[in-house]
Amino acid sequence: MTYRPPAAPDPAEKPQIGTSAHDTIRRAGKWRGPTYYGRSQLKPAPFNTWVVGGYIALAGLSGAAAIIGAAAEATQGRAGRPTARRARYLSLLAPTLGSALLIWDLHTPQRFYNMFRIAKATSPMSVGTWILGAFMVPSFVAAAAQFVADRRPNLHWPWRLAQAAQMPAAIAGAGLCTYTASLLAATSTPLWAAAPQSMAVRFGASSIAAGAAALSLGERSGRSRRALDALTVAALTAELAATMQSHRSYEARGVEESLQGGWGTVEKLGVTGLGVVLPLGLALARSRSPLGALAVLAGSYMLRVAMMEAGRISAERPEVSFRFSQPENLPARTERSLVPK
Amino acid sequence: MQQDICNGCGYCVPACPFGVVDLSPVDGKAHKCTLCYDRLKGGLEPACSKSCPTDSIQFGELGDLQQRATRRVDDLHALGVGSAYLYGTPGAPGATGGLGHLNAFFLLTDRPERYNLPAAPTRPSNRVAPALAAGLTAVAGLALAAFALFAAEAPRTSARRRIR
Repeated sequence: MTYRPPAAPDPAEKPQIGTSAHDTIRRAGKWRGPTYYGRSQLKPAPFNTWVVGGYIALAGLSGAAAIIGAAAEATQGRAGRPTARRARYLSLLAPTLGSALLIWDLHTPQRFYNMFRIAKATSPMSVGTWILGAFMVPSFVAAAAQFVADRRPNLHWPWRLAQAAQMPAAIAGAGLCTYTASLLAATSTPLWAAAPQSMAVRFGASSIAAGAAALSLGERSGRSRRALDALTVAALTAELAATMQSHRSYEARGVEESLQGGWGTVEKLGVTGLGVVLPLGLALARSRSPLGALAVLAGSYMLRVAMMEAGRISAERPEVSFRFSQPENLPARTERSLVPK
Repeated sequence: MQQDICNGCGYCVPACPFGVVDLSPVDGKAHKCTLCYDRLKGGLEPACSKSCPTDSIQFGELGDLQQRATRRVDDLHALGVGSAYLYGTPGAPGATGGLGHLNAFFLLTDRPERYNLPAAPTRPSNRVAPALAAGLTAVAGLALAAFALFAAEAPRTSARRRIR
């Protein structure tokens, strides 16, 4: 005899299918089922939001700087060198300060080197350790060669060495911009698990925007600054699109509730308003003030902090966890019939 | 958990779909039930199942336990407890989202949430590849844009030199 799942009250409002073209997003209802005496079903990540959020922002900034430096040098040759030079020094933030923040956040920091015992594709924490390690080597080589080139401008080899190390740094840098989103998505924390793809696009685009904005602050060449500002606009546009897609997924999967408190306001007004819309507006108005670039950098940090804090809320609140872990959110349709209705 | 290796990164804590693993503020390492590893080494069953006065907790080979539990559910259904079902056996609630089966499974008589269990948990590592792929695609696209934008703004002299 096969088991018969128990009959229980409808756990959630029926998903509403929008009638107007404006409202075609499926909105998940609130959790109406039981909780275990109101206790959390999940445990939130024991990461220090400000420290790990800072690392994620620095990793993105450094990775993006490496990519932009490579682009400037590869396409502009000698004229791109000042941009590449600043990019190489900026890229040192993740391997130095960033690594220190990561080790600081370990609960047994004296054993940090155990991260290098193995490489594990199913754990982005392990993948990321190796990406950071792979970034560290060429970015240090490029910066050290740049340091020599700055002091001995007539020597050719430091420039060549710096340029040779720039490409591997840029490739590892692309991983550094994105793996952190994969790390958060590959948990059971509802808000992070609800939109893996759009969150990763958001993190990646925010990283490129932050890198371009930071480099444009120090840029003296008008041409390179135009290129950096245009890149910032492109990245912010991508981030805005990914943000909208994320919110659609949050609503469809019933985790939007975790973004309704103070951190949700930070996410909307601080991250998207100040960090994306304001700089886009300033760029449209052809503003030459550094305000836009500073807002991009602040928004990039706030994005990570707000996502970590709102994620914590989503894991702590059982009504969000249970709403998210309903069969309709399973990736495979065949499994959705398994769970008692 | 290898207590002599764990460096307390804490990533296992949010990864667990059942909220089981936690970090100890005392030793800075992650902990969970070890099924009394020391007792198992000595050929004994875990202390919880040994001491359980009603045999509500049972320990054994997973296949045997699953068969026993299926028979128990059938018995309960025959006795009129139609709400009994298994959580965490292959093809049942709890064994969803790529999890296959759970090594600790339950016989329940109400919705999983009544027991603080997720109705349809998923394997978190299934989300590694989709997130990485989407993020890297976006970054690669923006990197191409960076190359194109810098090339478009390249000073004429250096551009001409490159062509020659």
